[in-house]
Amino acid sequence: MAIKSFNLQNFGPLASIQGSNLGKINLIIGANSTGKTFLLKALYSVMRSLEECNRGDDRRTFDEVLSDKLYWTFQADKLGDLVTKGANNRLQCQVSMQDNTSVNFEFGQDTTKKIVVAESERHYRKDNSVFLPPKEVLSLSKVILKSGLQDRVFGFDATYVDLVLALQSPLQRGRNYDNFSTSRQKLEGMFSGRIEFDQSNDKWIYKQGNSKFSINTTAEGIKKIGIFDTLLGNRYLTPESVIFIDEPESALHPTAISQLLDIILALADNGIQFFIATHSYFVIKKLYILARGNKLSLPVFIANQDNQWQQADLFDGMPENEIINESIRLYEAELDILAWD
Amino acid sequence: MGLVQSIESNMTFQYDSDYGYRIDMLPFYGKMSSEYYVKDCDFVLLKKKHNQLWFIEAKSSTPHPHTNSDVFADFIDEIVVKFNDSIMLYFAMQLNLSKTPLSLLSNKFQPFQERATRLILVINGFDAAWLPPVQDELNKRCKKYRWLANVQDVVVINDDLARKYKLIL
Repeated sequence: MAIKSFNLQNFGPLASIQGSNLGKINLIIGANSTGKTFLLKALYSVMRSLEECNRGDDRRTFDEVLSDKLYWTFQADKLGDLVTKGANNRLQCQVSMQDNTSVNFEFGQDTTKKIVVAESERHYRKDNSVFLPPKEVLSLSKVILKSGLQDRVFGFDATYVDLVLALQSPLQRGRNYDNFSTSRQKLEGMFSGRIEFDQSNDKWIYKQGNSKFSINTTAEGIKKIGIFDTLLGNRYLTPESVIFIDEPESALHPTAISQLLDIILALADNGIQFFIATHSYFVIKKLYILARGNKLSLPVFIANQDNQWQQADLFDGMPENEIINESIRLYEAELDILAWD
Repeated sequence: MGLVQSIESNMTFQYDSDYGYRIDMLPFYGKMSSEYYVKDCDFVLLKKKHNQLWFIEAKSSTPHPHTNSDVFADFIDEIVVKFNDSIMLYFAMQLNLSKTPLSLLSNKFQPFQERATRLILVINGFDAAWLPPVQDELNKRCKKYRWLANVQDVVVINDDLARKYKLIL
């Protein structure tokens, strides 16, 4: 039940953005403060609310779950602060799934803590979606949980708290999904080791062979890959999951970025849907090559300088964008320092 | 002598004939090419102002570096061989080792004063977005010529940039 389309109006910095015919992997690019992370978090909030609602003994209504998720994800004093500034603006959000169910809601600037979701057929999900922020969470996991769950204060938003909780699920033994096992081997091969939770000492460690290292002295990139590996190993993720990745390039060497994106494609082939926001030349180039080489539709959302969004497809060619343009400008600047007369 | 225009890969190159030549216009070119399999780039230009020698190859197209990687590797191999043979021929002529005597060139090429070399690949109509990776690859493959022939720059440009830098009309 992946996301098929979305339509967001007056959602923070996103004055208007629509996406249709979404793919297994979807890319979001744009300059700083164009709303890339906002879009990821908006879609995550909807998906995660569909997953938390009706789960176990939670008796909250969907409206309550979604209101809470928006409040703790965006951490605005009141939800109305999420509405794009402007007279009479109302935030509107419509997210449609592949099974033609949808979530629709809208609210104005006066809304404080509770929103009302329009009546529509909804399927609550048994699967889990996850938001992977640019920074790793392992070394701060206790602080994040204390801040988010115990003290209930703003600081680490719900995406961080949810991720730390997801990582705490114990590793599952037994046969995993084939592609998950293969992907885990590749992830662990990238840094010749794995991240593990040491129950006896109640802390995360990095294990390489029989050697154990403190998570605090482990490289940021290793922790980042380790998080992904752990979520595949503890079965928090399933082929129906949706993964939102904000800046996969952070803390990773270009070679590792390329390897990670190969693994992401394999997981996408297994069913997982990805939404990736990036500033990286290597990410966009690699995804372009994967789209072309695998004849894969790979929708890309691009914000222009006026913060207007357009949708293109990497399979159709590299669309005009500032990441590639800057690489050309640097190349031309390199030529310009040569003497040509 | 004066300015000559020469069309290659649908681009019109212009240079002073005292300070440039086409290798395929040299006497013995046919023999050199067909019997001895010497590969040549299209132009050699002398840039007296900066004491540089430029070897220029023009192409009307190139395989895509990533979606057609095997063909692209062959393409780069071919370009490297062309630059290699053209550099060898030039220095052999200067040392009077070649069967092509230096006297065939303008006397501006004598005496031997060049202090630096530039290798330039001009690809007509090539998307600017793909020029940097092609330039990076050719740079890597031509590294040894930095030592052997004091190649200071390996440049890959399209027709727009070639026009900007006044290599073509």
